[in-house]
Amino acid sequence: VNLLLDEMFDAEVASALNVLAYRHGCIYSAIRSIAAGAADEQIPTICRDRGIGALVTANVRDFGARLVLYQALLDAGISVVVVRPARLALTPEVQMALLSAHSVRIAKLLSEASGSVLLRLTQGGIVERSLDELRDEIEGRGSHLP
Amino acid sequence: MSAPTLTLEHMFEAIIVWFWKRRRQRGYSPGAVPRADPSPSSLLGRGIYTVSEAVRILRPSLTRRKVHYWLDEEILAEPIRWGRKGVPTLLSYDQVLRIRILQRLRDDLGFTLRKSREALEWITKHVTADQWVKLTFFRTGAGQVGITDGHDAIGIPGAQRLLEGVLPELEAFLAETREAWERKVLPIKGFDLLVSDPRVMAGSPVIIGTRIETAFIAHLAPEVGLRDLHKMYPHVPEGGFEQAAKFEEAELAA
Repeated sequence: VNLLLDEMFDAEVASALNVLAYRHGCIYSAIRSIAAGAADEQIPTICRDRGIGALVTANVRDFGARLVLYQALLDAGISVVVVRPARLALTPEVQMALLSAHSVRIAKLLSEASGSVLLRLTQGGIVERSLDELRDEIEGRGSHLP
Repeated sequence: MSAPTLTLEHMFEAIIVWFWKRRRQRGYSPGAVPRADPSPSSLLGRGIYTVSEAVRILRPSLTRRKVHYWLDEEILAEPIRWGRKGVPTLLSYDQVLRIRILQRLRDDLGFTLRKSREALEWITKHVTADQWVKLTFFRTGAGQVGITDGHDAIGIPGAQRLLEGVLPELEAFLAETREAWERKVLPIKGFDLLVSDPRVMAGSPVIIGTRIETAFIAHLAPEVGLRDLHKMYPHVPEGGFEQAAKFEEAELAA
């Protein structure tokens, strides 16, 4: 499974994680190495051109506004893995630790998904949201992400 | 300091706001018109702002209360989504620009919304029109302030304290706002290395030329010092982290 690390991630984290790709099955690229400062609209094209199925991004504030952005990416056929660090500072070592610990499950969930999905990654684990569930959540019809 | 005087005009405005809030709580969406393109992917590049985010970008004289008042008064057009308990109201980039115009005109002209609504709508409509024509303020023979695009003109009856020296500044401000609308990049006052670009991270303030949000730098600030930030993000321009931290009122670790 190919994933794209958003620009807030240390680009070296991609290389370090790829050393263990034979174990977890995820191959990471860093958007900074491909197109630093890329517009949101460019992400689906960047992903499609490189056979990347998901954007790994981080959210530390204004989740309500970002949900709509994630929804737009999902609608464009790109899965989104949102790292929510809660009380942890998302330093490069924490980025490494979180992604390394959960890459096996990320690979499994993405390869089993029938369409684009939203995965919310925290220290405690991963929660999957489909586009419909996310839409319900945004419209306030479903349960809210903590 | 004297207590603010509660005039009949204030009471009238408060009653109107209360009335609209009640209607919305009962499921009525003010100014609801069918949106041209409601598909989620169409939101990419339009910018998506919470009211708090808009206030942070347009500070210092803007408050959430003021934005909600203008929304309730329907002068900002329909938001991307109306908020309710636990769900924030979401604004578009165009609305953030409208807020910027209203804020400046209000601060400089001292208008009251009720008296100047038509003029304010006229100005915001012109700034975000397909074709830009320079807007010029003028004073009528009766001392009233007006604004013209060369063909059409409108008076601003609520403008109370316009000084002649402010006119060119206001015109330059409207031209600058028009430029921000065309370029789709909103500069952040006092921070030349930070922008709100609706095409990048949905408009969340970022360090210029990157997708790195100021909020993320604030998040890292207690743990990661300036030297390590430069190692993490070697492409960030000199001074970018310091401005991000200052904007977020965060202190970078030593």
